[in-house]
Amino acid sequence: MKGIGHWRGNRLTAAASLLLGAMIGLLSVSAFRGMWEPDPVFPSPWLTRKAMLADYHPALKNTPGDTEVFVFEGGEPGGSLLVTGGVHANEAAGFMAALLLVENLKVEKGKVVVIPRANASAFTHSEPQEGSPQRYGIEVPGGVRSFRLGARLTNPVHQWPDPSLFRTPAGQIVAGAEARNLNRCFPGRPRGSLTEQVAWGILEVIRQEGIGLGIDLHESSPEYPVINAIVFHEKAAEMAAVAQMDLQFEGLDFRLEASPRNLRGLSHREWGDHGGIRALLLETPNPVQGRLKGRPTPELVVTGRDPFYLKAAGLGRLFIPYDTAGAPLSWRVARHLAAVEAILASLEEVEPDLAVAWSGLPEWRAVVEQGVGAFLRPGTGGGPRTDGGGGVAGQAGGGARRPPQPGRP
Amino acid sequence: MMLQLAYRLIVLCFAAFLVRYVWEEKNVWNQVGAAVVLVLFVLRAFLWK
Repeated sequence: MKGIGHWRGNRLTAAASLLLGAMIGLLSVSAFRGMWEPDPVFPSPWLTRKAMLADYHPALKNTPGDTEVFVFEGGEPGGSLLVTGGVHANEAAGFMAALLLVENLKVEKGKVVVIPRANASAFTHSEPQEGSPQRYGIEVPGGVRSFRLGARLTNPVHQWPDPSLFRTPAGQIVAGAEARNLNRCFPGRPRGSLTEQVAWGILEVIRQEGIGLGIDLHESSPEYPVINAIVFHEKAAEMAAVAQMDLQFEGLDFRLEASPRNLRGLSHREWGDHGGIRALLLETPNPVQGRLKGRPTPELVVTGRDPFYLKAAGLGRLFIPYDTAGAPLSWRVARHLAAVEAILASLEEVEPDLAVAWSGLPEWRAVVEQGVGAFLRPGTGGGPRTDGGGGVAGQAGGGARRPPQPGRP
Repeated sequence: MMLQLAYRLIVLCFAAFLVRYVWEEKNVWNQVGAAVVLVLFVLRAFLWK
């Protein structure tokens, strides 16, 4: 009998091989093209209007950089707030917290503008060479909603090639790949690369909507020093300090980081310098984007529980408290939510005329206890909800969470 | 535009060569391997536009 390596082929096996190849191809095409479709967003019934970034910077029309801009206006005059998520599309809690706002918000006073997928192109691909999952699932009332896990940078298919070195629109020279990093491209260029144009579009939102306060939601690796942090432009220093104290009283440990004047191109610097607003950036810890993680899985995105980070924490290598509970997505989103609320409260204290008031959002502890999915709309786009959520007991790992944390290890 | 058309023509020519190879090949594992290469090649060329 001949060995397995010498099976004779014929026309039948040739046809079968080609058919097999075509089937693999069709499945791949379907999975790959699925990454290009933005996940649906079901705005709260109190949404005033939905615009696109191209409405503020028309050159973005019909480009992969165009993205939704959700505007909520209250009955009373007041200040105006911009919240961005997804400036880095691999930082799930930033996107998810912005989505939570869009799907629950009712603005009573002033105006709130939310851009949940600030770098829409970065959501169309995955972090290269990382084995990153394409999607992760969140339990919502009545089912599971699936979300794209994007990448830090703009899709190279949309902006290519990278220069060897990149001079940011603000004048700093950085590594070439940073040309696709939206948070190095502020304040943008109106006729620049796709990423620079998106940055310019966001500055146009700030100008045209008369924004006074901007909060950019991010995440970072647990081994990165700027974490569990409020990074503030000097115009927002007082507000940030008041907010930090309020958060400490709530049992949430945040550190304050001043935006360095010589670190250019970042939202917390250029929104303040070029947009003239109080600019802040929030960071939560995300193990799936760190260098020490084990296998990157959809579960790791949601539970934030990783044995290698646990070991690193035991060795004192992390900048956050990290235990067997991990860093669940619900806890990270809750931290963003609590920080945004605290910043708004401090704005009211510091500048009462510029205050923004809202309702409809869950309390941060409820997000930790019930899971972020309890406060998202069902994937089918069911009718408007008037309660604060309820239903399922949160996604895996998003439930019972640590008590108030100790300080930095 | 012309460059892209030329590139895709070259891709199609090579794809046609691979299809012929699979059709004529006498070893079944070579057939399967070439079919998979064919698919990856075509996907890479056309999906990553």
